[in-house]
Amino acid sequence: MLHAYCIRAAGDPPPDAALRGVDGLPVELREACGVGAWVSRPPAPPPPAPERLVAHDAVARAALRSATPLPVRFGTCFAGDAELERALCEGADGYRAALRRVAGRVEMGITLGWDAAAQRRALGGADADAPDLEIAQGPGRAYLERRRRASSLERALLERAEAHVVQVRRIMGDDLEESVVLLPAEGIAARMAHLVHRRALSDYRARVERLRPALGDVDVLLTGPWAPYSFT
Amino acid sequence: MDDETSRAPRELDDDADWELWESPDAPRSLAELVNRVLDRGVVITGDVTISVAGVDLVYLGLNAVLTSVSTARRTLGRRIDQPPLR
Repeated sequence: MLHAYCIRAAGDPPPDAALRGVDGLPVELREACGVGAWVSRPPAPPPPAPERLVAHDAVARAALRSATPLPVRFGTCFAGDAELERALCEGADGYRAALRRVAGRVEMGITLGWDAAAQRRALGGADADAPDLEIAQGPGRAYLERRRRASSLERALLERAEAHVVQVRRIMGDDLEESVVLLPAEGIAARMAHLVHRRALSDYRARVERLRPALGDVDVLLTGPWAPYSFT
Repeated sequence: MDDETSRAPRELDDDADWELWESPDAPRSLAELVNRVLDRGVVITGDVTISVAGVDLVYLGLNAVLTSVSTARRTLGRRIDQPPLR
């Protein structure tokens, strides 16, 4: 059984002999068709416990130190070396193209957090369940009106989250490759990822510092460098 | 000008850049890590066994920073991928 951490270009440095991955297992390089993979050999597919997820990412970040890899989603396992090699060969052209795309760059994450309940109140959501609906309209129409109000509120919340993303883009500049996910209902206005050149991280960090005073009650969480999970 | 396609090892200019990483023990950073490792990254096709056994247990175990599985699935969110602007 092989558990894969990341894909590497041919000729990229192998893992350090002392590197340990999930469950403390050694990490080795396997190569086929001009691409490589860093893998461990567990006895069975490892269940995704928190410490294993951290260990999995730690291997991807170790690879990132020397050359940007393609991080593999946790839980990707192969019955043996032949199966891994077959999979690498089948996808080799795509992996090489993706490696060229991310070469020299790392992923940085900006998560915009907010109090979703407070945002709803600010958008006038307090009256979504107003008792006067039943009295004025009857139960059936009142139900539909509540559904309509809730739907309108969620749309307004999404629009507000999108507005924050636009604001971030304006402040951070338009020269960054990005990936954005909006999650306005769950306390996260947006989760953004940028692909940043390794030698531009200080400049990137300075740009993020300009975000915090500009976004008011939106919390700005900066994380990274990551392997390019959001750009594979 | 750096050759971005060069395969030579390339360290970051400043070790402090790696310290941008907030400790994975911090709840919010752990949530960011889990989101990436479980929901992003390359999915290798072919003769592969994808291990998802116990994923519910992971979410339950982390319910201090994550929602329930059903809510997480419902609210994976709308993804907007911005194409390169240059």
